[in-house]
Amino acid sequence: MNFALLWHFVKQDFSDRYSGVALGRAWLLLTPMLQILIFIVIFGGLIGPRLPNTLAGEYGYSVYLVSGILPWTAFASTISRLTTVFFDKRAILSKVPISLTMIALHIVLVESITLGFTLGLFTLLVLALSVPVSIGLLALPLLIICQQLMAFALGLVGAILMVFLRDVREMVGVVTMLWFWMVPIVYTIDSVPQFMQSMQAFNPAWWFISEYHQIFVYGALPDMVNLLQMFAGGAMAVAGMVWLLSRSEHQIRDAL
Amino acid sequence: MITVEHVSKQYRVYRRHSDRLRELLLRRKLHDVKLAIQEVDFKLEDGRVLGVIGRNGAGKSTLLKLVMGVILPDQGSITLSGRVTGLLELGTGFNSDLSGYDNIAFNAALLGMTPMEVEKQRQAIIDFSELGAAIHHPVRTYSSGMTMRLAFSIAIHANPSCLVVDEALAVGDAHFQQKCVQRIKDFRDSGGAILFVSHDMNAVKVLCDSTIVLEEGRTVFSGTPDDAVNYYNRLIADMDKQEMSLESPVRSLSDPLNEDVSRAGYGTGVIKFQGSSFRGLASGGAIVSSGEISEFVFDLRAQEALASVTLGIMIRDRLGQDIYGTNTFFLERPLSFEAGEQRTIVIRMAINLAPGHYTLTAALHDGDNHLTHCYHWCDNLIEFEVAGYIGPRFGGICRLEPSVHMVAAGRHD
Repeated sequence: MNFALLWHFVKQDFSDRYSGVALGRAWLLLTPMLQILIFIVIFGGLIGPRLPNTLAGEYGYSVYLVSGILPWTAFASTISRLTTVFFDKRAILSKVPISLTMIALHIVLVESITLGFTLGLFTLLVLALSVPVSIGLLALPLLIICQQLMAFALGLVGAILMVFLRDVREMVGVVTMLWFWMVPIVYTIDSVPQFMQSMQAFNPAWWFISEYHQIFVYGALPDMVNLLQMFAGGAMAVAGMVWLLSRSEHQIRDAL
Repeated sequence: MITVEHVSKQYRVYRRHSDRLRELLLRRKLHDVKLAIQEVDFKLEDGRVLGVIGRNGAGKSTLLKLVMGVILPDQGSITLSGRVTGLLELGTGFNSDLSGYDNIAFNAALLGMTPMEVEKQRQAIIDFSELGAAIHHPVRTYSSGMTMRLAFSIAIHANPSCLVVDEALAVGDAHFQQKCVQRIKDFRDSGGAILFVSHDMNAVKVLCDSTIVLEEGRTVFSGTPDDAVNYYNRLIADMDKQEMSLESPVRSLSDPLNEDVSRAGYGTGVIKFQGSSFRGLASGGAIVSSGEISEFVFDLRAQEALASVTLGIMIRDRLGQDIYGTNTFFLERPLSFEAGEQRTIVIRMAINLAPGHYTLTAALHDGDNHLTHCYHWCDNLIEFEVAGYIGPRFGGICRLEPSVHMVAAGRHD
């Protein structure tokens, strides 16, 4: 693996997004900050329900919402961008021999870095509202790695299927939208019927979203067993998908 | 070094994209197989240039992509020693909003350069590209020639062991093109291997050590560039013959807008060109080497008896400039015809012209010019190409035949 080239792709992705824009990289800061602020103001001050037993008191629901939405956005965006990554980069892939795994990996890295950055920003805003934070924050990097490993594996499924069926792109959009409402992000887990609560045990998104809630909303330490399970499962899934990717490399390159 | 052994590549062609999925589910064959490359075999040693020629769709691009590694062969193996850089990806991956300077690092990394190599070569890349202060402007403000100069400069400084050259050199001004060609030759001389794909037969003859001809995905010829170009010409000529039989008897390749008029030519038609052809005696085709003895053949048919007919020809270059013309009146070979007589006239000459594309206009008239009685005039009746040289090379448009003598100072009078 050519790490220098991988890093170039990551940098290129950020600069593609903000080059030629007057405020440039400032938008990297401005967009999530405004987004987080809007959530906090609207759901904290105006229409927010009150959650019991949170660190944040009146801002409890806002923190709950944002701490779920940020990782979900990164997760969903990683999957949808991975699904089309080979087609998006066909101009390069059809002319320069670059490993498909590396091209896919740069998307995962970009989204992970963005998530780390926005979560950091969020933590600062939370502190600015004089809401206490917990030692569980230290587990964030591991948590990000866990969720992005799962996103990597799922995204590669999309990317491989995409070769056989272009509709996969639209399907991924619909599925992630549905999925979003099946995870307790906007609502809390105890506000839904019992069967939906027990279903969450099989919902990979809930595996990590619940840990973000633990850290930010309840100030608790994440469940290390859960983290390790996610890490091991995610890593195995990624290894399997990378193997499948190498098996279908032939067809993918022909289809570009 | 590039070793290509028994390589085959086929594509599945689906009528609809959804057929891929249906095929998977129904387990029924819903595609056609296109054999792009079949059993191609060659070896390119370091310091050598291998030419690949062939008609459109013969499989040249597929072969290049296979060698570059952007598609994988179905059968056979491709072994490369060291890094292969293609000049066909010139400018791929440039971010048009960034400056040329900022684009160097990413583009160079794409071609396989390490960050250290990039730092070491950066100044050389900038100097070779001759972009000057423009290197700090966004790439979107560059002309296509400037983009190409930067891209070529990065590619050649990537220090590959094999270079794959497509028609890429057609961009840029003459000065930079020459610089590129010189740089490619230097690369070869320093031990680099070059795979050269071109439709420019002259470039193939001048640059390549050996050449293969591809036809329908197969290597149909492999040998010296001269022989390969001749073989290729015969391939094209065969194809042309098939097309010719469908056309009107007098063949012309001029302005397609006036196709009917120009193909038929104009004139009273008392005597007409029935057919015409051109071939080099050594090459046997319509692409000849400069200096090669060649024949223009005209089949004539007279409707009435004519006591004095002149056959005139004019050779023009690709810009339409008159290069050389003569007629049977000047050559003191008057022609006369019986009514209904058919005859073939052969004009033989050494084509002492510089490499390039030429056309031949022919006319049948009375006396030394066509102004009084013009029987049949055909613009661009024959098209031919001069590529490569027999004998010493020269500059300019035509071969004069100089000799060089040495005499003691002051003794020449």
